[in-house]
Amino acid sequence: MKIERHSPSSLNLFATSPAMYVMERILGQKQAVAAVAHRGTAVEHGVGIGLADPDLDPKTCVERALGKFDTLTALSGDHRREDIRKGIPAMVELGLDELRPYGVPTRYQDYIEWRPDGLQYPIVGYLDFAWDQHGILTDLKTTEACPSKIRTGHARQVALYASSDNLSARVTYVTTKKRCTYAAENLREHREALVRIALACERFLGLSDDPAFFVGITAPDVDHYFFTPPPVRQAAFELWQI
Amino acid sequence: MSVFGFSTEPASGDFLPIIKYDARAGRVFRIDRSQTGQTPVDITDAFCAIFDLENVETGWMNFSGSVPDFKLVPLNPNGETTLPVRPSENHKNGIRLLLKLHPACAGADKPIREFSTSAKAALSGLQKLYLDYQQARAAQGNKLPIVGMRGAVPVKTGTGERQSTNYVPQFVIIGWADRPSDLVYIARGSSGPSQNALPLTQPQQQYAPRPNPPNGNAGPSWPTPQQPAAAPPMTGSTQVGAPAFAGGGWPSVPQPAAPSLSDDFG
Repeated sequence: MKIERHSPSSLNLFATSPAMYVMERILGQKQAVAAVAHRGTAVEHGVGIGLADPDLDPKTCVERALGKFDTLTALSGDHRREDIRKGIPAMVELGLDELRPYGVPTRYQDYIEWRPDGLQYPIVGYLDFAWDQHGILTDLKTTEACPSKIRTGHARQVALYASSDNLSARVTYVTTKKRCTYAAENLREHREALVRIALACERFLGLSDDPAFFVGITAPDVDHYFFTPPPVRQAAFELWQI
Repeated sequence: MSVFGFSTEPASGDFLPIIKYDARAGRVFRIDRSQTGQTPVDITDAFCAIFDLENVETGWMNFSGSVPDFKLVPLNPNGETTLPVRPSENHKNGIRLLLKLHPACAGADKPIREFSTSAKAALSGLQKLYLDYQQARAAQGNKLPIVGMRGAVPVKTGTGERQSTNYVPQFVIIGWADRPSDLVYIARGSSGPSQNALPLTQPQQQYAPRPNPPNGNAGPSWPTPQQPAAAPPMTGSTQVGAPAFAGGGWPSVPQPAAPSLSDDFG
């Protein structure tokens, strides 16, 4: 058990499914990332390249994104891989349409570390794009359908990033057909939420130094999509006998 | 005091240090003055202050000249306020008030600040705050509201190339406090009308008092970090586009510490 830092995603995971947190973060049984998660990384890669070079042909950005996706999913057994891959070109182009008007970002994949009082470990993350000349940052998310508002986990994420430089935080969603950017609100409250979750997480971790202990005090919701992939379902069964 | 036996700090006369609200960005800045000039410090995220809403001044202000020009009268909390003569067409409706910044956003010193604005978006946010204050003040005795800012809502005006977006500050009363000993209202400078004064203008906004809450002692108490919020925070559902001020940009500013409301205002 070697936890030295929190991240918005780990804290959101702890809040969503303590059992999956135990499996992945405490026992170290990292589950294979679904192809849809790699889609986000790939699209962000292609858009990042296109933002850094405003004259770059979007087709080149798409090729770079697809290359990244192919690399990341080379060993993926996800049956949705090809379907997900087909959506990447449109997402990259829509991402560029949405964000190129902001200009060239001053920061891309910038490491953020925050050490709130009362926490043993820092909360860290990487912001996607920041335009310091405008005082704006945004996090790019790929999704099947544009939400009508920022998802809570995403709000916590950008709230962390905005705290370091007092930037106005946004979240940009792209689908294969639509794009939208929302201004994040109540950043202070969402940062405080991160701290509260982190405090709960640290109290939880403080219960024992024995990783197996945490299996005995959690139980997975095996109908949750976290546990849907057969290998994950099998691993959960072997751990909890559920 | 300098080595010369007198202060070399910029002379301020009866000018108080100020805060500014930038309606185009939805940000609050503390303006710190020094020998090297004025430094705007973005305090939006940590903004928290006691507002002296007992002593709001309303009238006309002109920020287009080398120095601001005010022609203000006290806002009548119980009804209509007759505005003074509009000094010139450059003067716009505006209000002025004093506030005391929370230590988390006050900087090294000078927590007592003047806040004046003629920006419609800012006035809209302040009007909402004032109405909230009027509704709740009866239950609070002589206390003043502790005000935080919960983001800003964009409002578009105009069309086509003349379209612009301004941000209405979402000021909220998060607690009440006794008047700090250093938050003292003194009627300050208000330059006289110009020779080209325009005819008397009636106020554009009526601050009609709201009825008091049925239970007069139901007002909020001093907030603490442990005090639960009334509702979960919204995440944001306002769609935004690329900044219209591309190429301009705001100065990079240090991040102020988040306010700890367990501290008092000194």
